[in-house]
Amino acid sequence: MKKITLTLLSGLALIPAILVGQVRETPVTLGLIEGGNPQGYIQNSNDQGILFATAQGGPGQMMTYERIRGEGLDKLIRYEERNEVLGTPRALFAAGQYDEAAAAFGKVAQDYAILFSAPQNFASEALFYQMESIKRAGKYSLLADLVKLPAAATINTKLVDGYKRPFEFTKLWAFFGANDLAGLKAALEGYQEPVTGQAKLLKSPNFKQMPSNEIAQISFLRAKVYESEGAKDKALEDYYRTFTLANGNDILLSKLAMGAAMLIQKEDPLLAAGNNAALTQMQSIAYVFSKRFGKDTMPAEYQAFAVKPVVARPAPAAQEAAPEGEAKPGGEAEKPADPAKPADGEKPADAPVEPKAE
Amino acid sequence: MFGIFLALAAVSPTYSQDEEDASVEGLYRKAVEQNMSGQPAEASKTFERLFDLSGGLETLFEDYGAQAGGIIFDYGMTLLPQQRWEDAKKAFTDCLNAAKTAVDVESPVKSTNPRENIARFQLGFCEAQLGNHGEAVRLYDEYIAGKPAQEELAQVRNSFKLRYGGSLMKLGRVEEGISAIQELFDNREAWKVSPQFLMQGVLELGLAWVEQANGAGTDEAAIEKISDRGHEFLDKNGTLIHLEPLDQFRFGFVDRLRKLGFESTKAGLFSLALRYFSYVPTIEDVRNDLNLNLARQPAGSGIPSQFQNIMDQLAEREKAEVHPDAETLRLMANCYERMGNVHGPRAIYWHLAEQFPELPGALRGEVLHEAARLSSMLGDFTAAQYFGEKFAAEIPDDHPLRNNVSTFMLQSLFTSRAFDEVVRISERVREQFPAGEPQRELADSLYPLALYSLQKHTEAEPIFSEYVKSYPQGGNREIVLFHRASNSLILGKMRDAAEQYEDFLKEFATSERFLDNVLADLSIARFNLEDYSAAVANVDRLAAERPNSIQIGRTQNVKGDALIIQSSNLSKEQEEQKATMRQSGLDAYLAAVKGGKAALASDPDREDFHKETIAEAIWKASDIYFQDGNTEKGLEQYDAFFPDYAGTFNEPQISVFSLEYLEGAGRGEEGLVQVEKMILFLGSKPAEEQDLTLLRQAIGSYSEASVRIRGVEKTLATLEAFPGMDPANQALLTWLKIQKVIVLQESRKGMDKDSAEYAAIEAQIGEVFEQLRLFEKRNLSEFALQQIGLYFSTTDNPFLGVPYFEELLARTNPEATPFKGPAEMELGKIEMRAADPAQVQSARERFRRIIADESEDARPLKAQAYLNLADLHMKVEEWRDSLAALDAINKNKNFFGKEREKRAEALFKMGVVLDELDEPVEANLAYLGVVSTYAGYYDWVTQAWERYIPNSLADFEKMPLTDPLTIALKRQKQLTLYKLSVKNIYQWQKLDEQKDAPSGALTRLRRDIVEMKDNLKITPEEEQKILLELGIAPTN
Repeated sequence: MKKITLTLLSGLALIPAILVGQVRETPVTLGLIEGGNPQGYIQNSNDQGILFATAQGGPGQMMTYERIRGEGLDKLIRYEERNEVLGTPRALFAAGQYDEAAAAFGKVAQDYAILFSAPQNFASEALFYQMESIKRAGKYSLLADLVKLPAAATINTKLVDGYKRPFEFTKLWAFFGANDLAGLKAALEGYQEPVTGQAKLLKSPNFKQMPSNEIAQISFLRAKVYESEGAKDKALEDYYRTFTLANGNDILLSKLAMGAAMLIQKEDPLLAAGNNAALTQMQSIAYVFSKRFGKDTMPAEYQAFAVKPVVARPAPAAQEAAPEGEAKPGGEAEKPADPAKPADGEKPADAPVEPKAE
Repeated sequence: MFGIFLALAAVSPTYSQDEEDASVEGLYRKAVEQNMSGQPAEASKTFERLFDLSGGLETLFEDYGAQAGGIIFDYGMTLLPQQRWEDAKKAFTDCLNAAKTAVDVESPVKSTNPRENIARFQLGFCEAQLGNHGEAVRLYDEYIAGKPAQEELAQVRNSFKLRYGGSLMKLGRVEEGISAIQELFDNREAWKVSPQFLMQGVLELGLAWVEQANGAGTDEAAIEKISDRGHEFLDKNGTLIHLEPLDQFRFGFVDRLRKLGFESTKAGLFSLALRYFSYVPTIEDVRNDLNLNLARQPAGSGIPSQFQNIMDQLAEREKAEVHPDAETLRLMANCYERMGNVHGPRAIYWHLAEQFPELPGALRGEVLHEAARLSSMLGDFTAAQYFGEKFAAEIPDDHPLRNNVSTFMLQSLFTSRAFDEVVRISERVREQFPAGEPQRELADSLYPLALYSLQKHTEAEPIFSEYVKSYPQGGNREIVLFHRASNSLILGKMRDAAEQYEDFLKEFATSERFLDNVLADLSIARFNLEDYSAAVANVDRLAAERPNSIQIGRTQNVKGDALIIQSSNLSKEQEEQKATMRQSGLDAYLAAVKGGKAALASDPDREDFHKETIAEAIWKASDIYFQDGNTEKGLEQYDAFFPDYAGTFNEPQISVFSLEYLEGAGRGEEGLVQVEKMILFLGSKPAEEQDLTLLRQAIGSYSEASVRIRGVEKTLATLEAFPGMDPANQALLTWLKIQKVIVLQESRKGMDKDSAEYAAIEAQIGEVFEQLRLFEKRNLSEFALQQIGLYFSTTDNPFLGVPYFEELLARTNPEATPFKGPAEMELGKIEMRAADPAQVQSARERFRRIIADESEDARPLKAQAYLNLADLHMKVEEWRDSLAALDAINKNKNFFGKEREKRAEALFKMGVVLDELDEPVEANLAYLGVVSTYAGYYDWVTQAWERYIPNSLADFEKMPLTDPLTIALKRQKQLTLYKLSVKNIYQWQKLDEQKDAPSGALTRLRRDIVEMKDNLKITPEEEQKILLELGIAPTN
């Protein structure tokens, strides 16, 4: 069983080494178009250039980006402390200690605020990872304020393109964190295909072409919107998308989604009515949840369902040939059609008249 | 562990790249370098060349002593990455035996083999790879027993623990094995165990669990236990193997985890497999991570080669026919489904269908098929249809799953009531498979159900039967069996329906979905078969087994009907039983009211249906109360009916049939007003929906009651200006005017026909019909047309009736059919009176058409047609034709079965015709038949006797009188004839000649009897004797 028990505050307590306070300058090496590769200190930055001092604590002078070699964001500015100050937060992030990582990245972003306007600066990078860590820690409510910070805009303007798409998603999570479901719903529109033609047969709109890790996130957020609208069946489908697509490799998100799906299935009136299919579905998800996240994290009334449902084992396929070198497809290439029956209560049109002789 | 080399490698001289040092030392150094630079195969070759050049292993041992074992050890190390386990095993074995070999070859070099102990470790690894885990563990244990140096142990410890633990687990020493690997996790900091190594530990354990699970075969409990053990381990250590996507990919864990997931799936470790898959990043995860890593590279530094290499690998993988992420998702889908979950795989296949549209054709088909199948299983039939449509559009016709997909779509289409589509697709599926094949089952079931729903019941009938025969275990058998029976019921095939419902009950005696409907319908079928006991039994079973069914009310009405009919069929001797049964019937109706009200509460969506049930029950209960003299209770029911059930089917019935009881209770005016509403209601229905019988009953009952309550004048006035009447509703106006005629006709009863009062009424009647003449004939009901036609046909100008009968004959609506024969008859009767031969001929043809008509409607008209035809033939002296027509009547006892006078007429006329044909004997038989059989029809009897006498006398005259005996016989016959005539006249003495015998025959007989007596010379003695015999002799 995996639990993230540390809070951001306790995370801060764990990393006293980085509690150095806001810096006034940080060492850099510049590659100038003319003037060699001076070493010195950035004391501040804006969209035009940096305040550069050649000596620590010395008077700074404006060094416009035009004078620095490189195009666009690819300016030859080597931030000497980058690896040092980001080392610990990155290690925490890599170790999956996202609460701690968030605090550590946040501290860097705060301390090196003088860099925010500089190209590819590590303060913006730290802010990005602070939000990414918060997201992965599930502290979505903390995102709302962060994405609104003026500094957050530098993620799009001062960092390379690789940051933009994840940040776009962080902003969606911020809607959710702020409980702004109307805003979230509107924002999600752009990720969905228009519902036209045959697509009207589907309960919910298809997503535009996106990587599955993004669809997993979008699905979770859309599920929350659906739930708020009482569309439980649609929400259920989206929760399932969340913890199946992208292999369910976002542990926290998978847990939240699976828990939410379980909740919806538990409230299914068919389950209360003793419907066998509904029971199997409930048992199945409760069973998977209990295996992946631990039975003791489930409320007692859910634990009772956490048994492997009895499922007829299909006859083995004649030969389960694996594709070369890679993982193999599902065992049963061709499943016989289940004898699906007309839905309960669905009866062909009644006879127009009751054929009863009087 | 790969960096253990002999010291000589470090001290060897250096050569340029082009200049190879072919000495043992030179080749050895080269091999070591090759191995270190990731070229183990080349390294192995270099070692093998070394061995060749040195003259073989023996020479090597001779030259280097036991130390040569170290060279062979390093050779073995190059073989491991190539998985040349047997060769490696031999190399490590040679290393292990180096000291002995050196002795054997009598090497002068007294060296030691520093790799001897560690060779045991590597040899053990080879044995493990060759499946000899027992030997591996033995060698591992020997290695530890050999007390390896701490430095060496520190280098190999992590691998040792991993391998040792793995082999222990393979030997079934699971706990020991896990414990060994667990040490890696527990000591990860002290032993500097990286997450990558820990991940390897997980992979080792995972494969061991797979092997165990495979060994467990089908023992689900054992597999579950293994799975639990795996989860337990991951619960404890899962967080320690956290690696970012890029690292996972770089270290090869992505593929190995997927492989482990696949193997676990095959071994039945589904939940564990899902957990492994959850560690697998997607290609996009790796790329994102890589991009963020790249973003951290110093500006202007470009893409490092190792990153470029990974980017190339990612791109290469994405070029694969099947995207690796799609492969993983399919495996996951399989895991979920094998654990009974349908939502999970549906989400996955939906995703694959939408996000991976470029999959190879066969796989694309499979994906769409699965999406459709799983959607169908979830009851999301519209989604099944969506994916089915995609399949149909994209996948070639010969794809083996096409028919499956069609069946999934069928379900959707059926649920969405697209029955025409269901029929179309079912027919296509049915062409693909023989009946009885599982792939056809759904199509074969939904096909007749769709036809049923389209009300193509006749077409559905054989298809239902085919299904029932072909799929004794069919998944849809229950619904098909039910609807097969229902279909028969709708087709009016009551016996089939009853037997089919009973067949249903044999197979699904406790059917959740249909039991109550089956019992309800079965009771109706049995009722219609007049098997009332069975009908009641099924109703009682329903009440016992499904007391809360919404069918209770409806079926209690059936029970009530059945009991009331049964009671009415009982004889007078069974009065007590009759009363009991009638009471039970009443109780059933009252139970129907209760059941209907319960259904109304529990099933408000079908309020109208349940209200009908209740209304029917109330009406029938009230009717029983009224009939049994319990007017008060009957009126209670009447009051319960209104206003809640006003507007139901039985409102007209209860209104009309309660009228006289309301009248008796002093509520006549209230009743009349209610019936007025019903007359308007019934009379305002579209022609095709009208119940004319009930409308006529309503109008008739209404006017009778109205005459009693309001008087004739007001009744006539109301009929003339009916409240609420739409003047455009000519049909109803006609009915009311005809009813007015009836009221008028009734009112003149008892009046002197010659009175002015009578004449005034006649004038009023005539006025009504004159009004009716003004109506558009096409707007008149058939009944009205008939009545008007009949009226005019009896007037002085019968031809006024002709257009009404002709209108009837011209109509093509089914309701007109029963009126056509009578219209033809009436027209014939009018025409036969005409002088125009053409009209007479037309009349004949009409009668002949009636005679030739085989329909039910024509049957009651045939006798009259024969008789009229006979009359026409007689009129023109076509005696033979006339005789044929009359003979037809005579021989068919059903003709005029209830009109005996007509039979008398026909028989008499037959006698007349026979007379004309000069067949007096046969004629007399006919006359005698009239006299003997139809004695009550005096006009015909007297005429028959009148004609019988002369025929008989003529016959007597023909008797040969050759001897006294024949003379006496003739006299006896004459006396008998006279005697019968006297007797008849005596019996007819009270008859009124004008009224009872308007033909005049009686008058003539009374007059002619005296003449007969004279002609026969009846003596006074003979006369006296006859009168005495008849008991009518005058007494003195």
